[in-house]
Amino acid sequence: MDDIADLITESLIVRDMQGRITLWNRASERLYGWPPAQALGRSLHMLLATRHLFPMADIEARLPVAGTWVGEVARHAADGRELSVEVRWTLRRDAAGVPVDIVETGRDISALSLLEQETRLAAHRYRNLFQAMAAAFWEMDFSRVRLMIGDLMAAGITDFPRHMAENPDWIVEAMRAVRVVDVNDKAVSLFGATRREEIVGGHVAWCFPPQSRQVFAQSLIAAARRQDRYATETTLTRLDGQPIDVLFTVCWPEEHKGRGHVLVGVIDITERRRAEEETRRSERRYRELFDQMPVALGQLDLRYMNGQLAALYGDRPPPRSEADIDLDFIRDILRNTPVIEVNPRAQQLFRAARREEMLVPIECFWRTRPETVRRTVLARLRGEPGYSEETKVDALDGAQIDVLYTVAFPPSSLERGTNIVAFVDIGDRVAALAKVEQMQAELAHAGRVAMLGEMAASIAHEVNQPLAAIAASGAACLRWLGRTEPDLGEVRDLAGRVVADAQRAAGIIARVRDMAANRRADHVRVNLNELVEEATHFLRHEFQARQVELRFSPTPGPVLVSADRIQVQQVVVNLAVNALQAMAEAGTPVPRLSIAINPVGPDGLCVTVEDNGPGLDPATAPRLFESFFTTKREGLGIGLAVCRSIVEAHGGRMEAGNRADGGGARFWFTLPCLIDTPAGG
Amino acid sequence: MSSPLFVCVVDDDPSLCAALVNLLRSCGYRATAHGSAEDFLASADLAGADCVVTDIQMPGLSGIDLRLALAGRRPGLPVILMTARTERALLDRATAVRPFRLLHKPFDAEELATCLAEAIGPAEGAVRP
Repeated sequence: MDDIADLITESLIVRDMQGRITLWNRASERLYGWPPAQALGRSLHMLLATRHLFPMADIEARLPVAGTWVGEVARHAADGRELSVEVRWTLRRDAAGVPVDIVETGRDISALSLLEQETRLAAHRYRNLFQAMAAAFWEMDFSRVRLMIGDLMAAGITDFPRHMAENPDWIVEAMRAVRVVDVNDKAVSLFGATRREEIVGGHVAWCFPPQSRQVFAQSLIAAARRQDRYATETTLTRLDGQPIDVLFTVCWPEEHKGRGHVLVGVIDITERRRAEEETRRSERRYRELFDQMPVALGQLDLRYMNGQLAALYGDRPPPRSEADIDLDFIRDILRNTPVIEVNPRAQQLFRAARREEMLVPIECFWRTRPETVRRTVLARLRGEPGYSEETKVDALDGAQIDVLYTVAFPPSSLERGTNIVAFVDIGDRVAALAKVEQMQAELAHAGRVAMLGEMAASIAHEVNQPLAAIAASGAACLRWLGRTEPDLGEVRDLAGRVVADAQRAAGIIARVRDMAANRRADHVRVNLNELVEEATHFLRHEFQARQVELRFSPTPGPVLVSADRIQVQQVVVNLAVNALQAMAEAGTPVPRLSIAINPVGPDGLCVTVEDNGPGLDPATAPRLFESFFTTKREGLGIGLAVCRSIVEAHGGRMEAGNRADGGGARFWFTLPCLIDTPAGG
Repeated sequence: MSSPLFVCVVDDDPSLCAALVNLLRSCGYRATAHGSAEDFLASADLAGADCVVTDIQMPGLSGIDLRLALAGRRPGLPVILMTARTERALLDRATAVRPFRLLHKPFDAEELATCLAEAIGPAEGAVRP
């Protein structure tokens, strides 16, 4: 027997069920370097350090079922060389069927492996061509899975799909039994590895999330049915746990079948999936926006308009002005441009009972203001990004509605021949605006009246003064005349006083009447020094009663302005009254008001009103000129707003602040100065 | 024969002040005009005045201040206050210093004459119209 064994050129080794060598032929001695004397009786796997991906015990444990096993093992020769040996193990049994020993034939494939490595290298080069296709390739060893399937068959299970559906754990076990032989660079990067070694040599359970395990199962089923390939879209997991959407293909190359190797191709379709999802989402979002925007939206079919515009202006420069576009041309477009979609808000705005009522040519909405569309067309022809204006549109019930109309000209949309137009109902706003304008006019008048009220006591005193004088003088006249010798000298003197006092009273009355009248501004050439000084006369008694010292500093330079005397005096009086009130309220011990006129810039005059009161609160100072803003308990808060508008109407400006020395408030306004030409010209 | 009764008028409005002085002279009183309370207090007329007619609102000392000052320096000297103002607070302050009378401008000449007659008696040689 041994002699025969020595004739065989392949290594032939028999070991008993404990692994001890019972037969060792010459070819074995040649291959491994151990003489039979040193080999016999030793443990085979100990002697040669047999290694495989799976433990020897595992493989041998299956032999009673499978009967034979073929595989590549790594071994050490006696001289330490590393050998790669393809072995075939066959279990022998005695007559009673009890395993007796294992017969091994071995073939040195170390050289062959080199060849195979070269082949792999070539294949790798070949695969590099596919890198651009973003395909990840895995070469997997399924031989152990085949053994598992063999076990199932041995256990009498034939309905694999059902078994796998009912035993997910079996699938996981099968995935763990797969050995990754090789992967390409794309696989390394796609699955988030940094080196091939992180994947090669391991199993594949990690890359199949629970919902994708059936894909693995289906691959096995396909293999069992001897299909050449299996492909599906699924989700796999990267090493970092991130899911990736992939096209998963598995094929069984003919030359790999014997060794239980399969090729798996994985193409990343995450981007494609994401793009699809994004498209779906944006379409949904667009639809939601369109339907739920609190703005009336309509989508128009612009194909007719596009054709007309191209025909008329395709090779011509755009029209220069609105008038260059014939309104009949626009009307023709309006008749041929239908609405293809509207949102609920648009139905509401245009008073449509049903959506379909609005899906008509836009002509009926633009009867009142076709010019708006003409301006829209002009803007588009000029290449502007969009157009917007406040206009009127016709509702279906014939009402005209104030709207803010807006349209953009996105090139992509125009190319598709549709566009969106938007309308915001501004009817309430337009009405409100008209009311505000009316209120502003009333306010200005109310401001003057309110100021009059503040000055009423002062004016009464002012008027009463000459009246009292007149009464006294008149009475005195009568007495002088009633004497036995009338003193005509005294009477003449008194009559003159009466005339002067009457004129004084009339002047006061005229000033008050002028100020009270809500009349139009009456601009005349006036001397600003005189004008301001006269204004202070209004308050003379106010100053005296409150013991406020008034310092008036007229300008020595050019002093003529074009102004409405009453209005500007109103400003000065208002600023002075404010100062008086502020100082009184703060209990300023020695109240002092300075009014100064100074040249400012090349052709301006500045009137500055300063007090030595508490000054302005920085927190409220910015709002001083707002209508209805007031720090006074009973103030209307319109005085300063009216003042500023008066000054601005005169071409000047007005500011407020505190004195540079911090000792009080400082208001100033400017007026343009007239060239001071000699009088009489 | 005593000299005519002497009335001093204090008012910062020169026109009214002069008119009143003339009126009082026409009634037979001797009268002088003073533009402010301070002027009057510093003048020689202070000692000889039989009555003072003063405006309330004036720069510097007011008519009310003057009344209080006179109460110390010329006790018993009647002071007639005048005002064109109507504010309650001011009028209350004026009556609080107990003037002989408070006249509201414009007032009747007869009213002033009556008031003076009550205060110091009719002017010597006064002629009634």
